[in-house]
Amino acid sequence: MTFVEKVYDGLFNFPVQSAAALVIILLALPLIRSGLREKPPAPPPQPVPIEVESAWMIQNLTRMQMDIENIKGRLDVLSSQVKGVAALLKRRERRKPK
Amino acid sequence: MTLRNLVDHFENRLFELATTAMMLGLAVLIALWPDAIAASAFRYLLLVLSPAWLGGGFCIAGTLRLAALVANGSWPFYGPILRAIGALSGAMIWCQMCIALVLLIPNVGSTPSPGIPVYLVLTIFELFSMYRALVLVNRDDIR
Repeated sequence: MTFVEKVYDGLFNFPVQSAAALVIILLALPLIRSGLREKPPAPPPQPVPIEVESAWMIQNLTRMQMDIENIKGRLDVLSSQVKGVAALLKRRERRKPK
Repeated sequence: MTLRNLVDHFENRLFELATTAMMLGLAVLIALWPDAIAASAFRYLLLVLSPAWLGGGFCIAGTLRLAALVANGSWPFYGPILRAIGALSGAMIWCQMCIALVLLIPNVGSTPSPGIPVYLVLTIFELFSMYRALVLVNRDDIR
């Protein structure tokens, strides 16, 4: 008995098993089709480092640093003035009224 | 290899690894005790397949699946195809085992076996595994 004859006999002698195998094939076919057509989700893009070494960035950072230095100087002046006023007010408070 | 490494290697393929281990285990069992199937509730499976075919099929499918799973990403084109073929053959055999348990009900007159839903779920999820493996065939980075 050839293999084809065996398969033919099997299909008609065991209808339940053959029907189950057929159902599996029918379920598998659309899955195979869509599986082969579908593409897996792309991996997340690699993080790109920020370009720091640009002339524009260096110029702006230098300007920012100078501005901060200026603000710092002005705040120092303002702080000493506030300190002077506070000291004066404390001295006046401590002085007894005549 | 630690358990952590093992889990990392098989990643989301642990279900396939489990069914592969089941196939290889059944192949060993049939090789050691060829009458094991005939003496079990799966005896109606022998209407379709002889123990030699069953054991050989389990052995070949299990080995190919295990090879594809172990190779993981380093076998990018044939690996997923082998995994899909293994999953489809798994679905076929679990389905036939489920049918064998169903055929036991009218022939023996017993209540339905608790194995029926187990083998049915295995069949369905093997089809899902086949689909998931085939999606990887079209991965861009293997071209």
